Amino acid sequence: MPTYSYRDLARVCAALGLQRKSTKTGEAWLGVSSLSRRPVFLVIHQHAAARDVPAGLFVKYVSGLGFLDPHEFRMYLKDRV
Amino acid sequence: MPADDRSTETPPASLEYVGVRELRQHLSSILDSVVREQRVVYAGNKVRGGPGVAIIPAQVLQELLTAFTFSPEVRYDDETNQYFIIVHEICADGVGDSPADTAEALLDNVEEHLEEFFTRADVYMRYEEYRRMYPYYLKLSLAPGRKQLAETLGLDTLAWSRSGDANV
Repeated sequence: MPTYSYRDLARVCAALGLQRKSTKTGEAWLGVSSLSRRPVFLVIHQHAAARDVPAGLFVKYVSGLGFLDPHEFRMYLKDRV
Repeated sequence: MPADDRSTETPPASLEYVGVRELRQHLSSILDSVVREQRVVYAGNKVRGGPGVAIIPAQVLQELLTAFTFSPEVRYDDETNQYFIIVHEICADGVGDSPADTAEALLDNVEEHLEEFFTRADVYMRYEEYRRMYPYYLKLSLAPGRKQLAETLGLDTLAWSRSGDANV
């Protein structure tokens, strides 16, 4: 599975209509995902911001944002962001 | 502690139920008796009904919350050379180069989750998956400091490995 950065994740969060909020130790994305129609709260720590997302965590984020699987996320990132 | 509509429409006969006016007039003595006699008091609008509250001793609340424990999952990702922890009970995580960095990042993130959850609890509580998280957030909110927060999450007993296996 290809790896994605936290920046990719943030770009998708913005495209899904989530709001960016600065936190004490980084940033958070919150709001209702336009995909799942459910609230999302995703924290990106400042130490992780420029890093790639570990695969095990990536699956969790993808699901939380309302994507069916990583492939759907990849297509969304490619076509919509 | 919020009580749902059903609990105030038909308060259990075995529990004491007081109206808002009575609660306001006798708040001090009611709180005193709840603590001293380990009572539970339901309070709400007796005329209009609707959501009410349950007043229980704080110590009892803490004991009730002991049933809610955390099982953090620790992994090492060979591809990105990072550790990560997932706390499934509240859907929080942390990433780092070392076990210490990862634990610190998790604690930072959990503090953000806590603040956000209780700031907009009225929104989150409309969804089943977030309602299930409520007692876990409540338990974490009772931790008086960061060290206790780490203990509550079970971080003090975690073993770390680069094998890639969960929580080894």
